[in-house]
Amino acid sequence: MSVATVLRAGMLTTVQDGGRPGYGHVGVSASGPMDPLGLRLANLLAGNRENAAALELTLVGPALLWHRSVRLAVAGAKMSACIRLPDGSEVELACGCPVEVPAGSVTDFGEALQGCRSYLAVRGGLGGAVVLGSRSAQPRSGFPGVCGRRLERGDELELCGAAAECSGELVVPRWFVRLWDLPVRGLETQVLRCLPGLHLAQLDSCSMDWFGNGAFELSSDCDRMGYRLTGPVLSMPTVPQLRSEAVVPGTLQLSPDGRLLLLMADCAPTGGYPRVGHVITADLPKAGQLRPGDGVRFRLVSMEQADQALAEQERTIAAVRAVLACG
Amino acid sequence: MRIAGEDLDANLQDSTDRVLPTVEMLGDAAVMLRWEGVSEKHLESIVPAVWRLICELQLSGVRDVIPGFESVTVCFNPRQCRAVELAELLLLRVRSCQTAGSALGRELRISVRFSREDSPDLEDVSRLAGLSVRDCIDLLAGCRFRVRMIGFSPGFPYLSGLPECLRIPRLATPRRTVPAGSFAIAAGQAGIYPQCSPGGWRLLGRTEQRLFDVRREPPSLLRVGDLVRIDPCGPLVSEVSGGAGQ
Repeated sequence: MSVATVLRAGMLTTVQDGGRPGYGHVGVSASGPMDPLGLRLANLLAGNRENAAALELTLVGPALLWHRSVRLAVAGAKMSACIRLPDGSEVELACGCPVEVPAGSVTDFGEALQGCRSYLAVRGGLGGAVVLGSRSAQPRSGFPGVCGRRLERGDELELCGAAAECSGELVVPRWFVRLWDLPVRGLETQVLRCLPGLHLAQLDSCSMDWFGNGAFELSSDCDRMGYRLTGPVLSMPTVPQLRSEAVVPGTLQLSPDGRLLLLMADCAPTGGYPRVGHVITADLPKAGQLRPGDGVRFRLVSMEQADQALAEQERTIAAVRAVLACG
Repeated sequence: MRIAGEDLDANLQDSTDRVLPTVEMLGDAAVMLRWEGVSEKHLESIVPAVWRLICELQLSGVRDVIPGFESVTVCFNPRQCRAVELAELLLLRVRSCQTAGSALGRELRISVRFSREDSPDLEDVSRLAGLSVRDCIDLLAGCRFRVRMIGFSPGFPYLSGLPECLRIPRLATPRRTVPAGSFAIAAGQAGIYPQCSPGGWRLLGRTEQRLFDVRREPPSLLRVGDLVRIDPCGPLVSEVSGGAGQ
């Protein structure tokens, strides 16, 4: 049974859960959220398991009509959003906390004020078709149903299980959780830590310097598969001729025109361009919040530093989980 | 395939059959094993063997094991295992993996239709190869193709085993849409487009068989290491070549 109707789809709204690993050997991308921390936090706040299916909202969010009272949580990018209650009144939809909205309410999202992607989780998790073990949508994959496309106006959202008990009133807490601050647009550049790729040493010395110290920018040619970066053109005296082999989200490829390509969640499991670097797992959420025009720099780190950064991030999530469990 | 157990001290490197791969960290969440300076014939057997070996280990935290032409990559959850430790374990196991005489993949036949509509590039390819259309189809029917990897799109097999005279570059301008099931060649390889997609390979025929179906388990008709032969059918096939495929 439908829990909500999509009144307006927004720029690019998709269903995402923990992704679709296990089919890379037959050419299927792992997909999943662009900002995995955003999805996990939204689900924790809504009272779900961390990788339950939720909506990924991109730059401009959707308007949704809720047919029953539900507990929602929004995390990730800060988007302007309001709740229009059945009595016609309007309140702000707070980010980073669980909100209960009564049946008949409309949650109306505007533009992302900071970052690129917000996650909207519903208590119980979203239901709907499962393809190869996941509900994650991969536009252009040809998968059936919403697994193969973005949400459209008129789509009905379903819950995964039975709807949880809800007060039926509007409940907005006076606290919120924020895991990290996004850089101020136009003033700060995002720094992504990365591990060296196999072909990094084949850059000429000038390009090597640019890679470590130069400022790059996300071009408008960016989507869930990857980002084309503008900025310094990097060159390799002899470009290795490679045959297709595995690539992963976070891989920084050097395209034949000397531009960097940062592969993201929906990237094909294989590719054939030289690999300059790999953004560490702990920084992929930051990469997922970049939008066209944002500045980005790369800082090489060691495997130990990558491990430490991830362990630190997991401790933060564990702390949030513990606090929420205490009620 | 045989796993040699604890006997790791044997001088494995002497055996051409057991060339050790190099290890490349693809960031903190994937490890690539690659065999360099190894013959194509050897790669054809070692990649599927090591792929299967690692899959069968069912290591916790491993998400994907992805074969390439000369590599096998293991993607894992870095919260569950560490890259350096996993790489050491994989090397240890691969050292004791013997591929000689191991059963390779299955043998499959795929029916490919050759007609005016299904074979837009067949005439050009035949001419470039210096063959008649019928000889070209006969030549393809006699090929033993090996699935070297699956990628580009879900279920797309990269097939080796194309004769040298059919080593023809891809189209200068890729097509916007290639019909699903198209059997195509480019740059010394053959492939089959499972879905309708853009593509720059030269289209020689088309199969009705579904190469990829999410409602099937496994979803892909083919897997790495499989041997594929094509059975030509359709109006451009002579009775003799049609018979040769049986």
